[in-house]
Amino acid sequence: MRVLMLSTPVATHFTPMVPLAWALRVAGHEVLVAGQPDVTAAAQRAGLCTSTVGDAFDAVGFLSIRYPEGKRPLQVTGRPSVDTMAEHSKVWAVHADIHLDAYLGLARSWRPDLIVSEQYECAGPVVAAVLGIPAVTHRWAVDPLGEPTRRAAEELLTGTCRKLGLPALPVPDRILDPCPPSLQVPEAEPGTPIQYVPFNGSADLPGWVSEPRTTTHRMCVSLGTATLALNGLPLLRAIISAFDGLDDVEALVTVEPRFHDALGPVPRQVRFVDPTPLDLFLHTCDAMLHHGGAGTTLAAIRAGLPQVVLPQVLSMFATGDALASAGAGVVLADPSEQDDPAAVREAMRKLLADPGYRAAAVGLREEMAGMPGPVEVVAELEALAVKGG
Amino acid sequence: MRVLIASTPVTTHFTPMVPLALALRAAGHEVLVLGQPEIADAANGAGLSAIPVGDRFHALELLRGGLPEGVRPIQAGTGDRVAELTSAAQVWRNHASHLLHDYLDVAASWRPDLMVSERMEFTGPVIAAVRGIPVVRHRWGVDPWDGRPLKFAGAFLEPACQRLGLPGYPEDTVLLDPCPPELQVPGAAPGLPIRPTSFNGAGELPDWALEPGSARRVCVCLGRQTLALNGIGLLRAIVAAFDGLSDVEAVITAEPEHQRELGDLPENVRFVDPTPLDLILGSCAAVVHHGGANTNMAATVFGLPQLVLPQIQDQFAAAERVAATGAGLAVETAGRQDDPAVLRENLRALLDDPRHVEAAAGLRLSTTKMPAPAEVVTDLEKLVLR
Repeated sequence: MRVLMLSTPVATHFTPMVPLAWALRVAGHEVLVAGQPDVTAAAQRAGLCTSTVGDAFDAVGFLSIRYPEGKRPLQVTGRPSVDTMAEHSKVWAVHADIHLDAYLGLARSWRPDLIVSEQYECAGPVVAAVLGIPAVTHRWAVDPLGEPTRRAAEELLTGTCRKLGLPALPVPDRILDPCPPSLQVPEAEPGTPIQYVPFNGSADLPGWVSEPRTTTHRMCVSLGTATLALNGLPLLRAIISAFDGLDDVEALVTVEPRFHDALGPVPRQVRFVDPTPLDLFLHTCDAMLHHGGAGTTLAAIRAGLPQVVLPQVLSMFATGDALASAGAGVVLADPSEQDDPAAVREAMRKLLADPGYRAAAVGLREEMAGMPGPVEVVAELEALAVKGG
Repeated sequence: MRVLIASTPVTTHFTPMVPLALALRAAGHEVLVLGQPEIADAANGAGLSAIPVGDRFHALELLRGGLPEGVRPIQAGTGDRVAELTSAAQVWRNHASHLLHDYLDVAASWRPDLMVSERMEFTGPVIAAVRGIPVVRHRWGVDPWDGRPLKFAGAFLEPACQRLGLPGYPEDTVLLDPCPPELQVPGAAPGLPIRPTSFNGAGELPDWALEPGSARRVCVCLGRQTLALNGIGLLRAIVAAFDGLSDVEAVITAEPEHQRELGDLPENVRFVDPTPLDLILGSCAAVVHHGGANTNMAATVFGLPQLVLPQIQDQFAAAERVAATGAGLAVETAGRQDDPAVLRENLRALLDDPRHVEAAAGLRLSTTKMPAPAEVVTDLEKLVLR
């Protein structure tokens, strides 16, 4: 069968779907990723074929205009309410509306049997309904945004749907969910589980991965691709300072070389490494500190790591809360606490001292391992495509 | 489990293993690709991580360096196919001895549970034996290498094996074969079938591929080496062969530099920049190619009749086997390949004789009955657990 994959124009919104794309390919299906250049470039880096629609979006460039010098999003907007998240989702509904005709044209020519969209991507179910084929939505992880996203999409796309002969904004036939069920927000509509398989890009295995650890603990510090670019350096500086005085803990901090100078001198046990796919080296760590991004969180769970979470925007707060409730993590949600090395040090000390956090993380990993993998989900999608939309 | 996939430094030797690599990843296993920088680049291009060892090999320059100006391999060779295959195997056998110790260090550090080597990659079994793990050999496609061409490879590496404490050059634990059995060389060692999946890298869907066109579309794909190895004369003959075929459209994939060498084209012929075949073949009625394994397998997966114009090494076996199954035709001498009238006659036969379409469809059906890569992964998991 032919499967069309759609994504909003942010690479990390698309990459959770890569293992499913691979599973579809090796089952003999054709997979085409359509989207703006931000997405198709990421898809090609995963070895996939693409059809580029529209202009590059550059999410980080778009967002950085809004934030005054030195202030990161969390400091400006505070913890987002459900209404804030609904507002934010509108951007993606607008994108869907702008590109809908192009997606429809492509779909009418290429004739997919199934459309798979990531959780923010609203055009997929519309195109699928017009063509009379099934639509599937693929979540990233902990998802408090389903309801607000749907409300925004309804508000902005119902008119367009009616013009296309649809009575209302269509609902996807399936929601694929890689989040371990015990971590998912209770209000999220139940989805079809799909086991998380890491894809964080490809790289050459760095030599430092095989160097033996010299400290009892090694904590990976990774704030994701966007956080640093959005005035996140002061935050990282505070985190780095927090390691000063923590005995026998090495910090492995992923940070692009261009930021090294601005971060200044670092404590002896803090080591910078170039951004590297997490699945290549998390097994050498026994804890992780991160921003609560979906891919990072699932990667850390897969490695069985207890986590300190410093959420910055949107679903990261629900992610942090879920990890804390599961007993697998410590959350610092207040920006002034995040910027206080003493508070960060205390959170890390607490995480490393109590084996309960690690045990809970390992429990989540086992829950994850029990979920059906992408290969099994492919069989279900084949059955769905045969049944029709 | 951890799977280390090794390849000689020729991208097209590596790509037949990508579907297995992706199936392993989709099943949650860790996969690393081991090879020289060209292979690390190809791995990254498929979304796989790699461990580059050594310098770039520049295989194409090596092959080109041995050719007189304007002479392509089929014109320069002796015509002794077995000698040519043996000589090629010797290159990779010698190569293996230079890389073996660096590769062993990588394996000692990363500790794989399983080795996978492509047809010409000879360090794999040695690494596996030293590590006490199974080794999978992965054929590219039609495989004429069994027998004499391979016989001396093991013997050459025996002293190195003995120095490592092994009794001799180790055997493969499993031989994976993506070639449908009826297309494979008769007498080739039987392998475990793995359904072929067309993987020709990432790329952008061209607009014209979505247009059905008014004529029957024939894809001409001469792979990654043929044109660069003084193949322009061949390309000119192919283009001339299409001139005057009124109800046929040719789409020729070629690098821009080669496109420029050809000047004006007949109305029914167009050039396109190299594009993944899986984006093109769905809209085509037939394929003209050089017999390279990747192209041969792609055309087979899509069930298209093939006109094969072999140039070097295993391409001759691919041509013979395609013709033998009836799924296409072969033009196997330089003189006939350079004659547009001969090519035109073969194109007409390929397109008009329904037996070729039927046989090609039969081969395609045969591939769908082979175990999918995901099933093979399950078998490999059991192998490793044993």
